[in-house]
Amino acid sequence: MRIGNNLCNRFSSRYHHRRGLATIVTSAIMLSAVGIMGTTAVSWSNSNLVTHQEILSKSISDKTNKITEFITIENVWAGQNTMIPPPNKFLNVTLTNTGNIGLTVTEIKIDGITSKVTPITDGEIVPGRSYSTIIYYEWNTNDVLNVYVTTERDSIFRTQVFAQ
Amino acid sequence: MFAIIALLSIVSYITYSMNTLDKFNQSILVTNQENMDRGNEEFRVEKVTLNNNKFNITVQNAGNLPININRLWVENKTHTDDWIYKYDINEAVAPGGEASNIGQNIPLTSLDSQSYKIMLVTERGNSQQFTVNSASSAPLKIQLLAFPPTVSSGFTTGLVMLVTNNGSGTLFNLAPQTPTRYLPQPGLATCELGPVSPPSYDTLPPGGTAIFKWDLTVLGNAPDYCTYTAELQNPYPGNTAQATVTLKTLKITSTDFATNAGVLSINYTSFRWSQGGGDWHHDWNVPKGSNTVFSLDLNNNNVTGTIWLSNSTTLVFYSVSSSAQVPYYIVKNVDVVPTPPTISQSYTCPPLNDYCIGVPGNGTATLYFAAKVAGGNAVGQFSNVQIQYTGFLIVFGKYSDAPNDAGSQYGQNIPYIGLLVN
Repeated sequence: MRIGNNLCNRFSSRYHHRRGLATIVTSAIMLSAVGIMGTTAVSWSNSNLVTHQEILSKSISDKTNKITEFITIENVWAGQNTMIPPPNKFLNVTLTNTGNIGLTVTEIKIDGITSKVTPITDGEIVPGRSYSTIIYYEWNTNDVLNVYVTTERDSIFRTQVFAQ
Repeated sequence: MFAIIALLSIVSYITYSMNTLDKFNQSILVTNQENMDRGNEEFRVEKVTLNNNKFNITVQNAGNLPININRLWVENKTHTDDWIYKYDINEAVAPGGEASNIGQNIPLTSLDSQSYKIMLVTERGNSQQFTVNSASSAPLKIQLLAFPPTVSSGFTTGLVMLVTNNGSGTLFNLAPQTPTRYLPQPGLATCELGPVSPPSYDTLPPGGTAIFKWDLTVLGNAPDYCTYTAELQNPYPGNTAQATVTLKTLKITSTDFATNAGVLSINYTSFRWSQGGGDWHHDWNVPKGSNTVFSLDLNNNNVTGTIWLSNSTTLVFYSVSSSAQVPYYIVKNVDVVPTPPTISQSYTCPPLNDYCIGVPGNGTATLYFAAKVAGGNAVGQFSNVQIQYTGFLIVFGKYSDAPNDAGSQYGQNIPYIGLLVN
């Protein structure tokens, strides 16, 4: 009986000792888990916010640039290069950047009896400067021609001219 | 702790977003303002001249914003190559102000004889396009009119040239050439052309009309005429207009006389005098101190009524240098065969002894004046002194069907007779 009590006491003491340890371990694990989870969540959320900030910033910047850029189709005059055989008629298009930021013209489209799209590879224009190019297009006198200028930011500027 | 961090992150994100959106909003406002400024920019070309073969363009800023003209395009519309040049200029124009001498500093020689299409471009991208000396580039609507087209010899008519800008661009420096006699039908009349007024128009907008006027004096005999052809300086070939002015004989109708000069008039070429000897004289040189009788034709310009002349009707001569006056009263007839002449029929006609002679409506009667007094038989005479006289006929009468009817009285003074008694 004593032996049994002793055994029981020893067992009970070990049990209590283990239970306290488990509590501590469990608490530590839980704290660690919460810490890890919290840190992860905060990191994730911060990362998301930063990503969204970048997206927002880029989006706003793109839109701001797009609405700020402005091209004036300053002059379009029709000519003919008699030094070469037909088809030798052309349109001389002069564009001026009257906005506040630089822009890049990517294509010019002439829409008349026929339609012609001309890619532009050297169309970078700083504010206040002009860009001229010759586009070969077989116009007829008094043709009404629509001229579309597309920029790298997908802005489209349009004018209408009489070929004379 | 984590909640606070998360909360701070969200707050900073929201703050950043708000700031970013605010910047974007500012960009939109700025862009809108720029677009509005671009739309509100307003300027016009006031004047274009060629000074020393250089353009001299005057621009007025008619808007509320300052503008900066930074490009000048010049296209030669006359030259076969049809070249186009672009020049960078920098002309600031304050609101309401003007900028002159634009084009004086560009390395381009401009000629009066050539037509140019010019475009000015502002910093904001607005432009004004116009043509200079472009009368030669396309036909204009030209009319040459004579106001009036028929005149009497020695009279002046107006030759008017109307030039309408039927193009789409403003014309500058529009001036006419002096009209020339139209060949091969110039006409036989002698025509003298005065100076043009105005000599030129600085500008003529689309749809506008320029009016040039010359006074034209025409001499000759009806129906001679003169035809003129007019064109502009630097004209488009064949862009001319013709007008003809024809001479006509001056005619004044009885109605004109009745309205403007009186119901009665005299035929001045019928005025004559006699001092006997069977001669009537039509000149103005009358010997002094002799009995003199006169005759003239009186026209009654009233087309319907007869005027009966009173015995008070008198041909009166007033001295231009003294108070002398010599009346010659109407008589029915005179005898100029004897010297001195006599009154063969005094102005008597029973029972009234007045209103003896009637001049029918729209008719003429030859009248004689000789009596010293009304109804008398004695012939009057000028004094024995050399005097210049101005004479006029004072007519007293009445419009009635018969001499005895009451009718309506009418009196008139008909001037412009001159005599030199010596």
